[in-house]
Amino acid sequence: MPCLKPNKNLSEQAKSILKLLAEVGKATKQEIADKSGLNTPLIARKLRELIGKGAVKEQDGVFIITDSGKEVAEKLK
Amino acid sequence: MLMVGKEVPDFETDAFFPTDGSIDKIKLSDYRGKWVVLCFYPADFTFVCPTEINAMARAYDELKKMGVEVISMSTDTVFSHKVWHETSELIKPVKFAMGADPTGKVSRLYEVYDEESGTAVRGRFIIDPDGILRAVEVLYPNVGRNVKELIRQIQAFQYVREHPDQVAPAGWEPGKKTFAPDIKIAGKVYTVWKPEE
Repeated sequence: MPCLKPNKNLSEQAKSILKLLAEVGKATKQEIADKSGLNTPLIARKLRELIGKGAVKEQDGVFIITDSGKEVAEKLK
Repeated sequence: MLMVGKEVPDFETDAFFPTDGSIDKIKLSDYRGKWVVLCFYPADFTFVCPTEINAMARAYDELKKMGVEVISMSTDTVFSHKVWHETSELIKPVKFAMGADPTGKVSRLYEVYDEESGTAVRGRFIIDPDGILRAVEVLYPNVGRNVKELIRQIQAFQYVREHPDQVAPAGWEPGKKTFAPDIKIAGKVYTVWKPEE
């Protein structure tokens, strides 16, 4: 991406997904959609954002909050 | 040529999301489970393109109710999409993701890239929830596409997906007759379908 400073902050939707994962520990995309009311393409985008920032990891279609993700989620409270 | 009935190639590229004004990656496979209309057009700030994108924007609520997502795609950048959305009356109503393909990678993948102009031609792809290509329409840039026909085609594909033993004859619309293809009616389709029906 030319001339665009990478945004280090999490988007609002990513924050809400991270908070949700902090509560449940792990969830599939569909479970996050059911709980958050967000649509699945948006959730997929935001999960990639969270994975890119090391806050979430994926295992066989299940998204798991990492220790650093838990720390971020704690600060969001 | 991309073949109907085959899985479409996946892609990831930048997109402008008008509903929140954000710029983010868009990945086609994120849309699995939904019908997708992938709509290429030549360029922002041109002439037929805003009429087409506006027509899609006006049909978007109806398409959403049908379980369809729309992704527009041109070889402009996300920054161009953003300013086009902010400044053009015809583009302001757009709520769907506006994909950016400045390298032509996605347009080439879908075989709608015009090497001479460096833009995509008017290619429209109907993709089913399994990622299977159901319909393609490609027009030369000086004529715009018809959203009513797009909706009709999706309705027909959705109907036959739900009723796999049926086929939708020419010009089929919801409520009109479909029939089961069977060797018994080969050469005698007139016995189960009349043009006026």
